[in-house]
Amino acid sequence: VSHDTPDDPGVTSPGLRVLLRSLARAATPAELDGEEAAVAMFRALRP
Amino acid sequence: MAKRPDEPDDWLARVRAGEEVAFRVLWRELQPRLLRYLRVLGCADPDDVASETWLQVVRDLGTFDGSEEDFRRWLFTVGRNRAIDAGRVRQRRPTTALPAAFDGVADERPVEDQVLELISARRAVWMLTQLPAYQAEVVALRVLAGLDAQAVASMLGKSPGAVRVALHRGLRALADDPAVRALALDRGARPHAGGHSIRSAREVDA
Repeated sequence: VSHDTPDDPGVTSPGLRVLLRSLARAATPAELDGEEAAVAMFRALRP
Repeated sequence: MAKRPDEPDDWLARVRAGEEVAFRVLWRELQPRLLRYLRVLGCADPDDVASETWLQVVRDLGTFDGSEEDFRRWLFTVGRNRAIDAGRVRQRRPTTALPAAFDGVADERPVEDQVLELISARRAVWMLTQLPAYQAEVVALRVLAGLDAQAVASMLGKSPGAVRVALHRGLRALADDPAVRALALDRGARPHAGGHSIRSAREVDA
């Protein structure tokens, strides 16, 4: 996934660049809570 | 060592071949983005919807034949449909101030591992939801799913031109938002030396 911000003139705004980069920042631990359940699901259903 | 999914040579083929490690890397890359996208949509239970999304995608993986971008578009489309079909997208968009609880979900990683110039992703999602719904979704699909205007247009049933206009208007509105403009000032005021506590970083974002 590209981590570039959209190619739009509005993105020259420093505040907007902070916002968009923050939106795409690295995962928090809470966002990865379901990892083992997801892998178990994949293991059970994988092609 | 597993290749990262942003190395678009064979990761997708490895997942399709049932390689668990490749799936784990793929999931870790896309799950946070999917969750944030669902939150932008106003999804009431993004974790559940995301789980159902992955379940459907894995079940149908054998029928998928496309590029890395095609896969992302597919994943986010399934997530969108799951959220909408289940009636789990809020009718009213949030208009109140950022809930205090959001400050508690800032990155738990040591501050020195974070990019200090950034705010929490949840706070960023919340700021995005202050846009009109369509503009917010277009910006989210561009930034979180990494889709171009053509792909977003295909996903939303719009023309690429309409998507570009919505993207431009959404970005312009955000750029003009005093709260967004203040982010640059806040970041500029933040010391860049190491050794800051997590607490102090949260206070800056609060």
